[in-house]
Amino acid sequence: MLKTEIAVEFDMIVNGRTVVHQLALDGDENLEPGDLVALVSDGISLVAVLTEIDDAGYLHLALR
Amino acid sequence: MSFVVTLRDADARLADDQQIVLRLGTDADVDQTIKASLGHFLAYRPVVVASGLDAPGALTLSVYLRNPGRPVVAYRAGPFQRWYRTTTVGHVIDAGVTIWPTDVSVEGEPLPLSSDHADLVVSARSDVLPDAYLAATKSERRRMRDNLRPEFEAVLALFDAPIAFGLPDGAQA
Repeated sequence: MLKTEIAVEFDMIVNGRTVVHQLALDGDENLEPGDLVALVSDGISLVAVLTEIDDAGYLHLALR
Repeated sequence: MSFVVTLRDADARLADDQQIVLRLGTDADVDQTIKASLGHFLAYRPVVVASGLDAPGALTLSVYLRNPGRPVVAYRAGPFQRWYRTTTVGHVIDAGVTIWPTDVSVEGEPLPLSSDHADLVVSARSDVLPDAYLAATKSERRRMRDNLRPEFEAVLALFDAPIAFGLPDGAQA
């Protein structure tokens, strides 16, 4: 089940992976590694899995 | 952090008639555009410093400086990108918007066409970001994004109407 949507620029997806800071979130998602999310841009969405939240607050995401 | 943005040295292509390509029709949902820009805000700290500014990051609009020898469809990252919009360096600068030629890499891999990548600086203000935004509730974050919306819309308004990828250059949808 998808836990939330995360706005990204699809340009920034390289080799099926991208990173985005928690600043891109709405603030109440309580995401954890392993959660499935939808990466969205311009009405299009791709399913990704959250692999890590690093110490700087960046979400590491890999396409399913 | 594995999202790295660096400022290229003076880019000779920043002449007035240089065409700028904005992919995705990212004005379709300005709030999503703002969120995506927020997600990259802190990664712009090195560029801010290199530009002689003092801010924790920057809100930008990601664009490409079109190489005249490259068909515009070459800037399409995938079939989900159906539209693009164009403007010129001169039009952007005349509007008082700063252009940063930037190289971007993710997980150590440069973005495709990174050498043509540039950012239009929407805001390098430090009055609300990032600590206040991170500490804000969902409704407060929405209000903060609403406050940023006019600045994004002003930069997006510098572009011509959307054109479908696949149409001859200059043919508007």
